[in-house]
Amino acid sequence: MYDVIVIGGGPAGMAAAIKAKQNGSKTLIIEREKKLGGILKQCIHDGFGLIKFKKQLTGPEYAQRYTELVNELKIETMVNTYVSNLKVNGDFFEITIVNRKGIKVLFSKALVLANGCRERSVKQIFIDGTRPSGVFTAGTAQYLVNRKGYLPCKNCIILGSGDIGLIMARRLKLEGANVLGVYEVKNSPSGLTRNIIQCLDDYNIPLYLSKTISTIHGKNRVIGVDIVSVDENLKEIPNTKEYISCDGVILSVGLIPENENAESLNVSISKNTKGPIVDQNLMTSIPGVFSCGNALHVNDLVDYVSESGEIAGLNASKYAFSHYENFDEFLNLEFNDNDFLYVVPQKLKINFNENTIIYFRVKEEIENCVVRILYDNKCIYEKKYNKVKPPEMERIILKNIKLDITKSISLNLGKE
Amino acid sequence: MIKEITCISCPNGCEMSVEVVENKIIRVENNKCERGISFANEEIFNPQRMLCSTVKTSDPKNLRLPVRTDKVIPKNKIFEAMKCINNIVINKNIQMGEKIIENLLGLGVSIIASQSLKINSNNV
Repeated sequence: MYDVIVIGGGPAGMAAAIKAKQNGSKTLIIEREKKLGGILKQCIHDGFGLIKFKKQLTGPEYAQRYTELVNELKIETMVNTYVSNLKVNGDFFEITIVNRKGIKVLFSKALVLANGCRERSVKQIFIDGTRPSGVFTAGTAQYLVNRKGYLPCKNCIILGSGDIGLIMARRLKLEGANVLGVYEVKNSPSGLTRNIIQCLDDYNIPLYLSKTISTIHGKNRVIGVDIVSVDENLKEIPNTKEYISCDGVILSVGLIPENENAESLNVSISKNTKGPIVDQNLMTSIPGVFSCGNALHVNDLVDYVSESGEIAGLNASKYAFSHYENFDEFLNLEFNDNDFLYVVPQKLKINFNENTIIYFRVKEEIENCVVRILYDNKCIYEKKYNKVKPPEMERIILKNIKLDITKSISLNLGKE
Repeated sequence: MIKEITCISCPNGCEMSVEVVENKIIRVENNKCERGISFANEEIFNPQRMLCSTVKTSDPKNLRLPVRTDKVIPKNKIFEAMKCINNIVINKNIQMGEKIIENLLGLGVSIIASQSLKINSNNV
């Protein structure tokens, strides 16, 4: 019987396992790839760790800081191992794993779900056309270039201005491909500003807003795409079609937290984040099941991924030692859908003796605004922002406060 | 002349206004810290960037080794630097941070390994 089993050995999972082990728990990391590190293994660019380590590390460098600690603490790890089933069994969990040794069932008092996210694929964005080869999600293209040394295309267009697409625009250009342009369906870019500069401006790669692909052409291989302009409702504007010759389409159209295993446990999932609904301890609606990293909500900065891993891991460990009060005594952290895309955590325990870390994303770019937390109609927290935008997740800290179950608490956005 | 530049030193991405008169910066506005000022100086007169890429290895189990410059290099030297990097093949064990190319293009900057590598000589 383990105290804590962490599913996923990326930055979230490793941070969780380290905290759990340091807190004295018998801990296991289950990782489906042959090495720990998760997606960081292919993120060879720098910019990681600015907040946590005050340095600009590459993905592998950031990951190594954690893998070294995992080794030092002698945390048990199973690599090349896949979790095929999760089940609640009274006070503990049954985890069915599959690896080269066969199938086995493990038992644990607490679980940390740190299995990251998936990329939205071409099938989910309804592009017409044939199905030629040469259409890659940006993460797949990144894997091919950085892990395998393949150049997936020579003249490509990139759909979506999310960070991965921007990073790959630069990467492909550096390795000799011609990047014809980045096309974004919204009227503002999705990725971090510093990536627009370092990846597009630096390399004279044009960014086209309010445009998307309507059709991909090609029989065996992509030969070109139809680009159309869209209006503010993202609907195609007639007679705006233009044809662009290319041999590759790179898609950077969104990340979705991976929660098949959470769903199999009947964990409540938020429609805003597509990840589990959690309290300040990052415990889900199932007692003893914790969520962190990109499985909980899609992050921009790995530093916050690690932070959420630490919170989930420590609390999973505490839970394994003594099952604490369950999920019932909480207030919903309310917010207006028109102001915020999401807020995490969604539930606030009424008896919580520490500061609460709150992450949120706004729905639209706003300048000179104020974010407030209102409790019982009184303002208990306020922060001014010069500018907030959806691609840049914000983090605030609410000081320890005892809540009354009959009152309400909300996150509010207002103009200054 | 006023130039609008976004600082890339940290996630804040301050959108700064830089006033340049007779090839000298006389004012920087909207920066949240000192790093913005030094970034503005560099960016206007001699933009520098980190370069991160991969090199080929002789290990079929680990086909590429991530590498990076240990310091920033002039932005206009990036493609020349890529040519140097693409000539390398690694065929020995490498430690994280080990120098792969010393004094790249005579710039006093090294290309270092961004990951450690243990060459597999067997096909296990």
